[in-house]
Amino acid sequence: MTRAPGALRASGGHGAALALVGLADPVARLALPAVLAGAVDAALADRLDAAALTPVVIVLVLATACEIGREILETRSRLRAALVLRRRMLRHLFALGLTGQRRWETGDLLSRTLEATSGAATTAPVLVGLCASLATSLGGLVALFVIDPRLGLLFLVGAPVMWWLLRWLLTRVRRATTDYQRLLELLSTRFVDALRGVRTIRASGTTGREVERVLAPLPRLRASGHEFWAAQRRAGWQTGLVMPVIQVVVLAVAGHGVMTGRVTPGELLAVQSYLGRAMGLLSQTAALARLARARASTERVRDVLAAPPPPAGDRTLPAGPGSLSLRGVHVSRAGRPVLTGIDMDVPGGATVAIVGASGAGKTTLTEVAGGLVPPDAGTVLLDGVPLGALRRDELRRAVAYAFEHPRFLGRTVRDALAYADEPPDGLQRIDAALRDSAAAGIVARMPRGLRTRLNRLRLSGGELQRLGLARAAWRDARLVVLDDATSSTDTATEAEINAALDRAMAGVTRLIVAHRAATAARADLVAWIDAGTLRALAPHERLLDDPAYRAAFRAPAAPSPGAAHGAPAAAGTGRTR
Amino acid sequence: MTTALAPRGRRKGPRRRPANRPKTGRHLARLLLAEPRHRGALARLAAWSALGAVPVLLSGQLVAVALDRGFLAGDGLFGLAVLGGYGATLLLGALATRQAFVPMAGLVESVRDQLLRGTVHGSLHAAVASGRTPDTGAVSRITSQSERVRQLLSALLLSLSTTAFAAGAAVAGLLGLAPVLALITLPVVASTAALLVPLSRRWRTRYEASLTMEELVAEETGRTLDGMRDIVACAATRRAEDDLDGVLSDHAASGAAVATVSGMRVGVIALAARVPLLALLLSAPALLAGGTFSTGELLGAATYLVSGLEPALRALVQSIGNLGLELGTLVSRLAAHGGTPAPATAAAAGATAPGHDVLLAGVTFRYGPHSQPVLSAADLAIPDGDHVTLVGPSGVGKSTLADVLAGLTLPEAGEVRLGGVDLRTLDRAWLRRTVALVPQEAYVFAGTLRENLAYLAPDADTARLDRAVDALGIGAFVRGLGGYDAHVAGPGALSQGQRQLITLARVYLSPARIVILDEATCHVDPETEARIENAFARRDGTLVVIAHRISSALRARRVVILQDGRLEAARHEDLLRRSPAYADLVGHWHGAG
Repeated sequence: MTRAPGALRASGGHGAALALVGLADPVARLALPAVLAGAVDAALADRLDAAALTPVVIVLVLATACEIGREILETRSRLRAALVLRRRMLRHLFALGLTGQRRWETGDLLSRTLEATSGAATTAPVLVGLCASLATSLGGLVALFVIDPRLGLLFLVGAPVMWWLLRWLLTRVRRATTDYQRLLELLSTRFVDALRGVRTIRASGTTGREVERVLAPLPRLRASGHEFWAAQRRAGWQTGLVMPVIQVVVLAVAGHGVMTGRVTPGELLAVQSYLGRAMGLLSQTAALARLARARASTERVRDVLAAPPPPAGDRTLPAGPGSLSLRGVHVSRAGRPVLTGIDMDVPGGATVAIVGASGAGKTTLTEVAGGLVPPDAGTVLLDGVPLGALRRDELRRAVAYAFEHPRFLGRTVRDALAYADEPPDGLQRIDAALRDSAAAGIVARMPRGLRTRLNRLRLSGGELQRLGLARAAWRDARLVVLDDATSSTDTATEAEINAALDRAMAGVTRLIVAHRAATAARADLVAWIDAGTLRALAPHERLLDDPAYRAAFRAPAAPSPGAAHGAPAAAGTGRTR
Repeated sequence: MTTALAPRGRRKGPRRRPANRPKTGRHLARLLLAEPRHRGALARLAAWSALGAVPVLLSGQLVAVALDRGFLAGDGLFGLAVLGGYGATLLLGALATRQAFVPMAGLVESVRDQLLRGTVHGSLHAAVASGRTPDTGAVSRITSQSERVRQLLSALLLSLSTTAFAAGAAVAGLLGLAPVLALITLPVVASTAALLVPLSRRWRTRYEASLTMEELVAEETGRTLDGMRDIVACAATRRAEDDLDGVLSDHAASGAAVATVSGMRVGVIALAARVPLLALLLSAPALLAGGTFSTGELLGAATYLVSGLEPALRALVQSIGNLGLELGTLVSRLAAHGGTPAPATAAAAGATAPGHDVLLAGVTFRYGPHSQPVLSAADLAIPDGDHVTLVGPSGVGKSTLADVLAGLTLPEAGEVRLGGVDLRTLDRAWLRRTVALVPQEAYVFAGTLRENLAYLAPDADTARLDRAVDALGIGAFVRGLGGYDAHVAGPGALSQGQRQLITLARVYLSPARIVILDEATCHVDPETEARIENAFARRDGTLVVIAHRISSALRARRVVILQDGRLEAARHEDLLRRSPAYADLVGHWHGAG
């Protein structure tokens, strides 16, 4: 991984063009009052000729061009940088795979991929804007000094008072918002709670009462809002008092200058403009805050880009039966060991049931065995090749997964089932996979069969699981991992699926996370996981004598018929609207 | 939070504005103008803002007078006095702006209240009508969006009223000082406006397209990250990357298209502010020579153009263009959540049923016109006081049947009768009190335990709560929480099983005569489940249990199996003999250990 290139560079050519505009803009803005003053004085002296007017026209055109250019280039460079950063981020996230998902919550990753990139992308426009406005403000101040040093000194006396006042007022207003935010949060929480309990509310016929409960904080929210506006009003009023004073005093000094001939009438006009420019110094803190936010966003992006992806090599797999070996595999999560010292050899073509209490490390074992997550220590070998030495695509082709809660991507059901970099040609393999997963009937019940759009689906947890199995079943994998992939199907359907998969996957090595004794009994071997260690790897019958082994099956109640209704987890998997 | 994301098709090229998105301005206008209160506040805001523009109106005139009769005439004191007068008008302007805050704050707070009320009411009713939890991420954004509306609206109202009057005042002051300049200024301002209208329209179209793209980007990225494990496991990272890259590029292109129009708009405004200035300079020698203008008047006119008109025009377009459009878009989006859908079931008033026997006759139900029916001409009779357990393979539609029994879902054919009366003709409120359905996901709201327990029986006293808690055997749990007046916080404070206990006790206390437990005990252990089911069986009325464990079937008087859209009811032993599907189900259940 090379050092993550900065957000500045990501804005590319647009950023460079923007920097040029940022140089020209202060020049135009500072020159404009001066050339105007020159022209006005020339007109007053009745010698307004081309020599006095040409600079005005040139500066006006330049200023207009800078404004147009800035408007366009700021947006374009921001969009360009965001696009570059998002692409880089996503490519890296795909390389990280589950490692990234383990380290950051999905919501956090989403916000880093979208919001942080777009925040980081503002670096170039904010920096250019800051420099340009700083140059303009300082230039304005210098111009005041040049026209009449008294004007400059006056500004230097008034500005700090103004700045201090603004800051003081800002903190007071900020305090008023905290209370408001808390009440808004309360209302929001109640709202989400009620939405989660919508089936209960519906069955109880209490919608009206729930609306009132959610909205109960509203009067307090309104009162707090009014307090906020009152604070704002005071703030605005007090700054409103200081500004006119500075303005009038500066005008009076300039007017006096006109009287004594120190200042020309044209310069009096310029003084008003330069005073406005110099006042810009007071709003630099806001720009600095924006820059700080952009830098914080950049850090959030960089954090992810700096995470090392799991190792990958360039080896390919030799022909083989799919024998799997784990050597001294150790995995920890958040500093806590999840798997410790796992050594296990699975002969090619064998079916291994992974058995253990919930939280024993079964799922982690399947993730490590199939190369979704690299072990923190130890090696996993597939047909003698360490997974970390394999080309990434080679590894992913060799192993297929079906999950307890599959997530589907793509447009249609067919697209979701064939979802892969190298999808199967034709429908035969998918049709067969659907039959082997007892899912053909599910597709038949859909409004448009395989062409049904994913967002039109209403499926139960068990049905989703069977489609997830079908998605894995058409692949030419030499290792298939079924992680609780039939837990939400009833036992009769599970038996049907198992029989079909036995036929379809003859000779393929299978790891099956199992909660039911029947599944363990049918497997060639049982890997009994207990508190992160491999307690035994043996046939079911041999282990049955151990009461601790039998207890592993009794703990959770039989089928949990799954997220049949509105479980939030299932919402993203295709059951929507 | 990630959002639950509905997949969308991948299309090439920039997306057009969806046909169903309403014109952005309409909802905003309705929100602001529908209430007489709001109209009054707007009028007061305008009045104070007009007063606030007085300094701009006088600025050029006063500069002219201060120069001509003061500083240039050698009378410095007079010049200072005039400037002092100008300072006084500035203070007056600041005072007026301060007062403008009052109607603005009232208006903004009222609009926020109205939005929150409307959207909470609308989305909760819509969710209840559909019976499913919507994408809570998207819906909960409602509160933050209402807040954004509040901020945008306040900024828009303040800047719009201030700058509109300031621009008007600058033009008016200029005309008062030098009517000749009107010949140039007015046509320029008019043609600028004529140019800005189509430009702004195009800007809005492009901006809305870019917003749509932004939503799509968020949706697709969320879906991709949510599905990362599956994408990697499916060896589909290139596919997913390509899909997403298309959306991201389209988004950047749509934003760049907005910027182009913005740039054009900036140019037009610069022109409007600067052409009159050039014209003033060009005509200055003639005006001065002809005696039309004094030196002070020339400077005063320039002051109007440089410090009055230009900044005001710039701010005006900025606020209408950016703030107004974002605001309009947000309000339209919120309005989409605000509508109250018509009740799905006709709410005939009045009728109550004379008895409580439940009868399903020839009931057919399916999700879509082409999908296989969940219920197909199904018949079932549940006499008052019966205790039945409903079983069936997963995904067969047991929860749908529960909804149909409770009158929450209407069958497409056939009838459900309660005490001989068609459910559709019964009084809704009475029906909801009489039939209680307890779903798998327990709803416990932030409040005291007592509030939660007495939710359906508001008049229940402590003695009645005690009896229910004793009957269900959850006394230890209640004491562990800290008694009835303990505060049960939002989600996370209680385990799933504990939440289920609370909802079960709530329904036990309710006046419901028919109780349907839809896997309502799936998170409690088998012994507790047995105790609870037995308590409900002893309670007056009918009990329908949708089985989570086969043991529920053994406890029931009768077992109903749902298979291929048909219902078959019998005693456990008889059903074992009669229904191979049931035998299979029980066998596997036992086989599973």
